[in-house]
Amino acid sequence: MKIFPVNIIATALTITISFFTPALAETRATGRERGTLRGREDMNAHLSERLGTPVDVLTFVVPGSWPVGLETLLGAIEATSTGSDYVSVKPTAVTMLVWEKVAVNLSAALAQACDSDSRKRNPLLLSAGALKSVTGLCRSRGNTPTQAALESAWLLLVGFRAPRSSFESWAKALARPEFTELGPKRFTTEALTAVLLDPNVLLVN
Amino acid sequence: MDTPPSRRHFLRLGLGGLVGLTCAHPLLGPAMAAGTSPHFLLQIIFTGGLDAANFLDARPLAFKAAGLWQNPFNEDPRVWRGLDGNETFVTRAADPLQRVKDSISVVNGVVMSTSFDGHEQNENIWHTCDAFGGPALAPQIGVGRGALDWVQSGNFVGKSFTNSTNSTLLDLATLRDLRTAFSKSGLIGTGRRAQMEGPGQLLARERMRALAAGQGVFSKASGAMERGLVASKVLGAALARVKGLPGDDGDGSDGTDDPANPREALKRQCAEGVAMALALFRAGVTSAVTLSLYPSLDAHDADTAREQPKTVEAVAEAIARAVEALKETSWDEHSSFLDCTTLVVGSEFSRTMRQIGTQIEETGTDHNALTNTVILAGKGLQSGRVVGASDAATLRDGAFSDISGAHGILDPGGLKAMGRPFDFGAGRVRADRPNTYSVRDHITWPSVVNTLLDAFGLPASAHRAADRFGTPAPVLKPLLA
Repeated sequence: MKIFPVNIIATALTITISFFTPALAETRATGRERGTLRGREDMNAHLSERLGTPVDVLTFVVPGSWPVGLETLLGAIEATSTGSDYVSVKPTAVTMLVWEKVAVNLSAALAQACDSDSRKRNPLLLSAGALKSVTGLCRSRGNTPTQAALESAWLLLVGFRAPRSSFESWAKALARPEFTELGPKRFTTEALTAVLLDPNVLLVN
Repeated sequence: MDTPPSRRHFLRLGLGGLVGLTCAHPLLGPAMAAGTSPHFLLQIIFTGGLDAANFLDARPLAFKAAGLWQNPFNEDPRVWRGLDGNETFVTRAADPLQRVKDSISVVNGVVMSTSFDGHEQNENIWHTCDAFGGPALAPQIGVGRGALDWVQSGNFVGKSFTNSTNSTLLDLATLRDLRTAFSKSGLIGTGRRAQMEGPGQLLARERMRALAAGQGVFSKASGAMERGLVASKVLGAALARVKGLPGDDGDGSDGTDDPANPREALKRQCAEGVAMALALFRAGVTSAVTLSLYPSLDAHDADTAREQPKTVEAVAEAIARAVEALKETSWDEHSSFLDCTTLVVGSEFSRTMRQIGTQIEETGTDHNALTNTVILAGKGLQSGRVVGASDAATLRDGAFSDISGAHGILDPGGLKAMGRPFDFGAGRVRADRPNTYSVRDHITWPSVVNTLLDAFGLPASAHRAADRFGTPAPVLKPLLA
């Protein structure tokens, strides 16, 4: 039988690259399909690492409470007769309803960094670096944050999961009047909501 | 303590609806448009395999004396005569159904499968007419008739539903959480604030649309996210309208069950599930709800088999209460929920008459997909009917005298009853005993499904085939209103 060395090399390269590519490694680790929602556990790990504080997205569905019934709607592993299955990881009206709620409320909590009362600025106990990144968005009405501040805030929540073009689209949109006319806290909330609902953040890569 | 939703609860639920629901919701689909009558689907599946012989397709006690049929009731069954004059034997476990006898129809002898007898496979058949899954009936009916095509509640073994992308699993606790959580914040609701999206959300949707239009890895999922966000506004508004859930007035249970009394728990779960379904229907969240309950019906062991009279009676009581709830809850000032809901109740298959190698008093029962019983009621259907029958129903010289050649091939051990041939044109059971099996000769599950599709006014092109060769599955015309 004739063997095609090109195929062998390509396969070897794919395997090798997969060990060094975070996105591929993550897909392999979770066993989940690319393009499904990452789910509660994965998002908790991501956000906790990025923000430097323990984060559970469930607590942002209803701020300050822990609605047990909603756990599975944020994506969870459930036992089946043949093993286990991920449930609520497809983007639907129900899952997006819940994840939108998480994004809006988490963003509002982060935007407390813009509060005039310094005692209220860090309810989530963010790391100093994370707090600084969010505070960079707290510009005065009519202005836009500096490019460096925007980049810092984007990287804080997204990490290096998204292509540069995604950041540029987001940053450019924030210069529109519907954003610039907002006060600092609302601007920050809306800017971060857009980031947290970005497919690059919510979906398995 | 178990306190299932009371009649008072359903009365309140109905009266609440009279206030604002004599006209249709603005967010509901075409089936709910003003001036038209709504049509809901409520399915209740008691998973595990309910033995039809212990319920609505019973056998005389002489069968036990002959060592042919395990009969944990140790008494002769009673006659259940339909308004159409057709009869079946029923056990005393079916007594609770006497209260609603004229409101329901019974279909016996439904062949689920001649090849598969697993729970998951037959539950898939129940939902999709295919052992491996596929498009489920409920979302096929529910699409466009509410914010969600289908709401499932309970534990589903069969899960391969390919048309359920706008559906969700939802239990009462989750529904309460959703309603409470979102109503509090105003993110969902019918008000302007609730429907308004901030610039951040609009920007996110813009990004999703852009990615969906591209060829990237997130193209498909981004489109689904955007559609989901748009649809979530309709869903949110509908969820905010949900009223009359068990416990809303402090008269429901706390959702905890006494493990020593699973039969009471079953009745409570069923009643709460029905109350939830009616609340979802009324609010426009969905028009198709499936409750999956799991009583101890899978009686492979003798002890569980001996408990079946009590277990099946609890199932019957749960069904009777469900029908009563539909009858007694007003949809509007002219009609009850039973007038605008089609109810389907059943199990994934029946059970064998006994097991080999055990004494008749010590036997359990195994899965039998060659027959099944289903209860139908409500809109689009005739009530009080008895349709179909199973064989292994007559004895001669201590042996069954009505087994066909086809049955003998499919059940060489002689442990099962099987649906008898049916004349779809005349609408009655046939007397002949074919030597070979043909789906054309029997009431198969797709025939039941096609009857439901007709009851909902769907075209014949929506019908399911009786097998993978595309053989038509005739509608059960005696059941259509």
